[in-house]
Amino acid sequence: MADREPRHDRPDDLRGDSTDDLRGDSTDDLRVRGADDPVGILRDPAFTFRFDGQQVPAHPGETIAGALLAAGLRQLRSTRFEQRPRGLFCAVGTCFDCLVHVDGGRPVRACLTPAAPNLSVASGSSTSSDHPVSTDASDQEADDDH
Amino acid sequence: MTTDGAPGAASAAASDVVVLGAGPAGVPAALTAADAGASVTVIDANVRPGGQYHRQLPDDFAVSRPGALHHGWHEAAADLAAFAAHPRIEHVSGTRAWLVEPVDDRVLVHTTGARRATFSGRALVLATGATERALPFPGWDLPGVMTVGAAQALIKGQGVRPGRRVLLAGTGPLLLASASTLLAAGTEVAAVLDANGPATWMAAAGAGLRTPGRTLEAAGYLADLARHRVPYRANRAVVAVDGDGQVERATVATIDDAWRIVPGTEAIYEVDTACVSYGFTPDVGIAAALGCELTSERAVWVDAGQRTSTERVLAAGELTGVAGASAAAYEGRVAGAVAADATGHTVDRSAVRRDVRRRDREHRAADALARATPIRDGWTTWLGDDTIICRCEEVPFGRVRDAIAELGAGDVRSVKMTTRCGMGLCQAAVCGPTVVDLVRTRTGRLPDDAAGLGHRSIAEAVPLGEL
Repeated sequence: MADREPRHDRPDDLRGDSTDDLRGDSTDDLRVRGADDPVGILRDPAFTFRFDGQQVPAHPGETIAGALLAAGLRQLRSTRFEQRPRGLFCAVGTCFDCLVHVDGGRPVRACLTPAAPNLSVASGSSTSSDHPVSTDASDQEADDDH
Repeated sequence: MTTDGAPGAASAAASDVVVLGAGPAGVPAALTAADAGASVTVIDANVRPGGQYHRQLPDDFAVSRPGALHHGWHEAAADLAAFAAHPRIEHVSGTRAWLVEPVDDRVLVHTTGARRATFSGRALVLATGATERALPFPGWDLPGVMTVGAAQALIKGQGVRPGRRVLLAGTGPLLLASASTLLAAGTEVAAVLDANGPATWMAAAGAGLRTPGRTLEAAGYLADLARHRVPYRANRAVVAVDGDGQVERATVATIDDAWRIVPGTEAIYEVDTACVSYGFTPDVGIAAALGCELTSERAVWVDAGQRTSTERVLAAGELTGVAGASAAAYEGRVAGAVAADATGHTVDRSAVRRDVRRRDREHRAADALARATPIRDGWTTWLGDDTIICRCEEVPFGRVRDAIAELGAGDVRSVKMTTRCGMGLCQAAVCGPTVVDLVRTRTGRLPDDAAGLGHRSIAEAVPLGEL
């Protein structure tokens, strides 16, 4: 029920590729923007979080998985038996393939967990099975978009 | 948004109708019941209503053309606005039902997530939808393979493209719709591979005589492909992918009518992403737990008024048979009206009859489309011994095959116990239908316990009857 009118707190002429530099992220990522954006998305300025020590930009509203994919970081964990790489598969919280650790806590689904400034995210590893996974949206994950 | 407290600690909030799911069926069900005067509680796992089909960007994004990527957005947007503003609808978001139980003349819904509470209704409408199906093939566990629904969710819900160069493969209407979404968002689409043949289009055209909207929609998608010079190839599938740590190339092959690879037709596509979609499996878990009868297609059985076989429980949308968003909306309206009527409110019977007619017309169109987009058993020949079947527990095909052949595992439960297939975190949401099909194709009969583990459903036309 948190619906509200779209905010247009920046003038229209700041929309598009030219503003991306102002917001500190690359136009070479996988974000939909500019001439390729039929929806007309206006993102709030980017912040960064860490993924396995690497700084990753994210905009408010993006999930950890969304921001990592946008940056071309596709391997989110390795499996516990064969150490096989895994990444985003269903993107809607069903498959549990995108498990990552946030600030050293229990594994959460990257596709449901919002990115936030200065988070420390670690790829899910073979130690994941030592931790009970949160399947509870009230924990760090939030379904859908928050 | 988080409410702390022990599960079940909060006291029951009583309403006339509780709806599980705020997608294309749940929203119209709630609106119709509330318009008739019923008090309605809608419980949904997502933060924003609309479900997967009408997925919206998070509030943090400002957008100037919110419906640009959504088919039928104007109608849906009007419904979503009315839903948000309705004085008799309480939308409980970010919340999942973990136990549903009939108690006396009410149904209790125990929830977890943002709201841990027990909700109580005199009628319950299940609108839990369906899960997209992916067929396994060598390499499908590599990063870069994802469902077509994932691509849709990323673009519509995150404003992020799934990859730089994308191959789309599978069967069903979502394939073409998704190609248009990807192209509109500036994605390079290497090709669209339809495992079925031109029969799809003949049947779709036949169905279109009754639902011209569907024909126009499909024609629009094909025009998008042509404009972007994206090849559309029938009778082809992605049968393997490989790469160093992520997808770098895909093997595409021509498949025959039984979906076996035609030798010598394999071709390599240099792509970083392969999106696959092989239809949908109805989410019948809660319904099955409530004892609702299932159809032979593993969907929830409903009568002409969307009533299940369990008293006070109705169902609408894809869990009753996969028929698309338009059918789901009419099913939802009928279910909402019947639920309101059952809880003592006055409904507009002529409006209900009209919705029933439109629903049944959508069902006939969906039936024709489903018949034209079957899944043929030959996909099981794409598997290698080490192809992963259960992604969670890393169970390879060889182990499942041996369990069925050598251990005589003729039911899903035995395969699960001997191989750990389906015992992981996703609770067989991904591998369940695959295991059912593997048991069926290797033993020659559908396992007795296939119910609840899912099987691709074909929409079932509900007979028109008196309400």
